[in-house]
Parts: sequence; structure tokens; C-alpha cells
Amino acid sequence: MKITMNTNPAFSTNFYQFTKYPKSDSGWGLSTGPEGRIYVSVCHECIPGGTVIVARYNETKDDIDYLFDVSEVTGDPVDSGRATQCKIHYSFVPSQDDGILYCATHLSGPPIDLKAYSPWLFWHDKTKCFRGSELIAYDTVKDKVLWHDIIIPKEGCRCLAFDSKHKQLYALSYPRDHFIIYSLETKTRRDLGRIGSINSQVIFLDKHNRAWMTDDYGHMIRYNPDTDILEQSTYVLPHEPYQTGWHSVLYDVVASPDGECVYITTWSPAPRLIRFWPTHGEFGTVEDLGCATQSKRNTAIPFSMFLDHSGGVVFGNDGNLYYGHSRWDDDNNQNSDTNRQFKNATGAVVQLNPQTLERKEVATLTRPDGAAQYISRGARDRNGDLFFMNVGRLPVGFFKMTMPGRKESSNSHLPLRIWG
Amino acid sequence: MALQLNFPGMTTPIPMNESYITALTRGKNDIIFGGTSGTTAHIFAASIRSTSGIAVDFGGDSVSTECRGLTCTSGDILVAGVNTPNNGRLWTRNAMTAMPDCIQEWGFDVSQPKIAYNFPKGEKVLCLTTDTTTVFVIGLTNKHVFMFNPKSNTVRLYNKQNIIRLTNLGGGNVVALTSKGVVYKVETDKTMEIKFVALTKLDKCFTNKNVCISSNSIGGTFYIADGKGSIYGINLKKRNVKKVTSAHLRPVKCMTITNDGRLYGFCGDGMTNLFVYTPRTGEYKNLGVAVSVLNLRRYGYEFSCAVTGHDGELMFGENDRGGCLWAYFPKI
Repeated sequence: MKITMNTNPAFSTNFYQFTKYPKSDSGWGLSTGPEGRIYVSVCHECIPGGTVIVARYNETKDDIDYLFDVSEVTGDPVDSGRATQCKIHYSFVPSQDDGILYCATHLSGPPIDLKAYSPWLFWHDKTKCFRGSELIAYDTVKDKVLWHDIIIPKEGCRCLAFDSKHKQLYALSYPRDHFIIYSLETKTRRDLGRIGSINSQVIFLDKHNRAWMTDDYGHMIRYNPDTDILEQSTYVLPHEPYQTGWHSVLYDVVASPDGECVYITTWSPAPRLIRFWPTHGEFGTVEDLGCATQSKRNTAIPFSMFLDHSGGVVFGNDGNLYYGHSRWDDDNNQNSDTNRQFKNATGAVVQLNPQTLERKEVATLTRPDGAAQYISRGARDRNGDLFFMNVGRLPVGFFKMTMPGRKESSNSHLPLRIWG
Repeated sequence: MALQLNFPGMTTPIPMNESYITALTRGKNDIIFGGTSGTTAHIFAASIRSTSGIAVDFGGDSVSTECRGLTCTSGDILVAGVNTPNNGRLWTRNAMTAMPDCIQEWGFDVSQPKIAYNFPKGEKVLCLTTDTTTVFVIGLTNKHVFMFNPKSNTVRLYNKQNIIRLTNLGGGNVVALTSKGVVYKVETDKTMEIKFVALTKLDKCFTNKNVCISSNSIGGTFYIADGKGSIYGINLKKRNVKKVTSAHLRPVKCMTITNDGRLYGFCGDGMTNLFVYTPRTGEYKNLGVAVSVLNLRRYGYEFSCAVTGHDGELMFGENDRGGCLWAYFPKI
């Protein structure tokens, strides 16, 4: 359902709520499909026997089309007694050549007869353990699921990336945080081993098809398909001086339009905005662009990571970077009724000029029931409009931000982002 | 508590691809020595005593990829049994016998191990330990039982006799287990002669892959777990054997006994669980998945080796990428 929230003619925003699924409690994944339409995951991760629905924004109807129920297409029913196929995290990846959108499921939704699911407790339980992350190939031309396969047994897929040159997908498993390579040609998987305990929330590729992620302590981890090994940087990603770098893992990454560098937000309190040049130097070059949220703060307070958050990095066709960030009024008032939506918070879209690095808020993100301070992912559709997924009160939904000077076309979504 | 394989805040750890900990032993002054596997094998020393709380990497050679055992002789020689893709090797170096002050003005002997012996192509080391005299090293390859003199760097080979595992339980007690379930006490002397004295026989056949022997004995009792997770208690003096409990998951990966006789170990594949068996009450308890919040914030999923420290603390080797040395302090 569409709800108009911000009528600023320059960057007007509408909120599209998953009202058909009133218990949808999260919607982590949002991605541009290979044809330039926007795909989202409608997740049910907190209710027993929940499932995830893959949906798409319909620009003609200006509404949401719900495409398929993952539990049904994978034959993993919600009443199986196992943890369910409840969500798709940062695991939508489009394949431009053949029009396929790949997605992989994540875990955490409890079995139908339990209130909560622990992947540690139930790892060895044959009746309750999650069957595994399902990789689904969806044909966006014929609008049908072509095939599905378990990409990670017993674990969820936290994030996914697509290496079109080598015809393989890269994934990070949860909870064991293993780096997985899945060959689309042989439909086989390889496990290159553990990274740490905190998943990097994204794997991105550079122009040499090397896959990048982070370990728990903010070191960059690089997979080189030519050598087939994982390498680790000696440096740690930027963080506040009072922090150690622990938990400075990648949260969201977008490539610049020319593909030479990427813009990163980290998944840590006081998240960092970083410009990273992966092909400069032996292990890339890091540019610290400072705190991505509210830098003025009481550094003795542990902020909720649902309040202190930045994500949804996406380039507009105007050459500027856009991303969601949060700010708040009072450090000591982290008042939340859902733990994911905060009464004194503000969510906004920031515009950053890559040449001058000047930043400014261009739109506030407001739902009918309050601020939308948590943006997980952003994407640009074929008309050049920007979309931002919000995680907050249920039912959740996403924002569409109409860009000034937009022109309806069929290719304004290019170049495609090939990681979730 | 997980300890990375470095001097925290000072040095980089052993690279993640090279830090699968596959062997542990305890030396003088409670220094723990470990061996790793991966793209390159390393040996290291670590300690949580006094002002230490560190690990020191001694490195390895550029070819070996797997450490299958290491031990300290009474002559303070550290001997490691490693494998290259082609053959087994024995490394030696001086065993560190004391840790320096690691708060101020430290210094270490960080010399790399030397290749003391090369087994022929195709002969791989399976395990090794010090012998009864603690002067020599006794070990097992896929073809022989061997004894190694670390002073002369010479090896003497013996018939394997279906032996699949050798362990020094401490106190001069070296035991061997055969694939037929026979448990031997292995007695050696200064001439490097070996005598196998049958202790008992388990009503089981074993494979090398699944068997696990506790790293030590307390009160003359040690434990063997078979591939199905059944755990047998064996008394060295009484020479009797008794199935005492079963692990709730199989296989059992490693076991060690704390000073009051409680047996701790890890079991299961993919996500191992810590368990404890209390012989006094016969109680078995699953303690769940390991997690560290002190020093390093990390889950522990894969463990392969264990030793007990001087005061009953348990040290476990994490056989995983980025593996750490884990200290567990049993409930008092």
C-alpha cells in the first residue's frame, strides 16, 4: 500500500507498506532486478512458522506485486517443525545476461511450535535444525522460479554476490561465518573456511572480480579467484578513536558509476562512511569520510544498533551518492517500543557529492507511525528513482524517492549492483 | 576465553589460513605448546600464567601443512611431527621453559624449528609423544611405530602392530591402542627398546579417524572414546575397563581430565559441544557451544586437541580457520 509522506517536489518520498502481510516484521533485502525493476523480501523472522515472500514494485500500478512464497517454491513448508525459510537478507543478486535474479534465504524464524530458534542449540537436532539456505533462480522475463538448490546446509546466507565472469556466487554463512563459493555451472558448493563470528553484511567485487569482505576486527578479507585463497589486510577499517576496530565490518557497499571505487558504511555504533579504492596499492586504499550518523554523542553509552545506523548506499543518476542515516535528540533516551523504531529518532536520506564530499540531508524518511531511522538497502530502478528498505514497526515496507529531473527510460538502473 | 595466536596488541596472529590448531602439549612452567595446520604448519608457545597471556609463533618450514603432534622432552627439546604433501617430518627446537615479563621489557627466542628428520616419501606422521624415559620421542606413522632421539636426530623404526594411537598420559605412562581394541602400556628404556605390555582389551574395533584418548590420566584412570561416542574408563593399575558414559554427539574430538578427575571434551561435527563427565557421580552433562567474551569475542565451533594446566584449567586447540587457544576454567 502506498502512503505519501514527503511532498518536497525535489525529493518526494512515498512509503509502500506490506499491508497484505500485516505480520511482516522485516524486509532486509531490496535490489534492482536485471531488467531494472525493484525486488524486495517480505520477511517473517520473529513469528513461529514464518515465511518470506518475494515482491516487486509495480511502477504502472504504483503498488507492490507479491510474486512467490519461498516456503512453497522450495518445498520447505512452514509447518515442517524445522526453522523456516523466513527471510532473504542481503542476498538478491541480478544476472544481467540472462535476466535471472538469484536470491538466497537466511534463518532465524522459529519452527511452528517454538517461540524462538537458536542455530547453536538446534544444530544437531534433525527435526528442528534449519534445512539450509535455499538459492532460488527467478526468471524475471518469464516471471517464474527456474530452480532452487541448498547453497549452505543447516545455515543461513547473510549476504550474496555474483561473479559473472566465473559464473559463481559468493556467500557468507550464518552463524558459522564461512565463505562459500557456489558454481552455477556445476551447481556445487565449496567451503573456504571460517572468517570470524560477525558476518560481514556484504561481499563486494572489484573490477578484477576479486571478492571483498571483512573479519570481526575490521580487516579487509579478499578472495582472489585466480589464487583461490582468502587474504587479510594488515590495516583495520576506520572507526572512532575510542573503539578498537572490533565490529567494524562492512554493512553496505555501492560502487561508483565508473567502477573505480566503492562507498562503504560499516556495521558498528558510530558507523563509518568510507571511500575505498580496491585496485590501488597492494590491498586497496582507504579514505575515511567520517561518522555516517551523529558524530556528537556521549561516547560512554552503548547505542542500539537499530538507532545508530546507516545503510542504503546508492548512486543517483545525477552522480551523487545517497544513503540513509539516523540522528536523534537525546543520547539517554533510546526509547523504543519495538527495538527497531525509536521515538526520538529521525531517519533521513543524505546526498554526498563525490567531488567535494559535501553532504546534506535531502529528505526525511517518515512512516505513518513515526520515523524510519533504519535503512537496510537502497537501489535505483530503470527510471532512475531511488528505493530504500526500512526495518521498523510491522508491517514493514520501503520508500521510493522520486529524483528531480528524472526521465522515464529503460536503462537508468545501469550499471547493475551485483551484490546484495 | 579465546586467545589469539599472538601477543595481543603487539603482533599479528598466525595467519588465518595457517592457524587450525591440531596439536597441543604442556611443557615446563605450564607453558603450552601448539601445532597448527593449514596452508603452512606452525608451532607456537603460549601461556596464561603470571604476566603472559600471549602466544609466540615459532613458524615452520615452507612446505609442511599439517602438525599431528608435538611434545617436550626432559632435555627441553620441543619435537613436532608434521607432514608435507609428500612425507612426514620431525621438527626440533629449544623448548621455551619460562615466559618473560610481558608487561614491560620482554624478549623471546623466536628461532624457527629445524627439520631434524625426513621420513621417506609416502610415510606420514600420525601422532607422537615422549616415551617412558621422557628423553626420547615415540610416535606413529602410517607405516611404522618409531622412536626418535632428538639429540642425535636419529630414528629407529618398529613394526606397527595395528597400533592406531599413542598417548603419553603423564607420570611415565605411555599407552597405545590397536585397531583390534587392545590397549598396551608402552615401556621404553635408554637403549630405545620398546616393550608393549597388554593392559586390557576393549570389546570394539576402532579406526584411526574416530578414536579419541584423553590427554592425561588422573588417579590412574584415563578414557577412550570410540567412533560411536561411547566412552570407556581404563584404570592403569587395575587393568580394568568399563564403559562409563556416552557422548551425546559423535565423534568425540578431544578429551582431557581436570585435577579432580572430571573428564571434559568436545564432541560432534560442524558445531562441537563441550561436555563433562563426573566419575564420582556418574553424571554426564552437555555444556553447549563454546563462546568467549573475555580477551576475544568469538564462538568456538571446532576443536581437536586438549591439555590440562597445572591448576586444573583446560586448554583446547581450536581446529578452525583463525583458530585460537581456548582456556576453560571448570566449575568449582
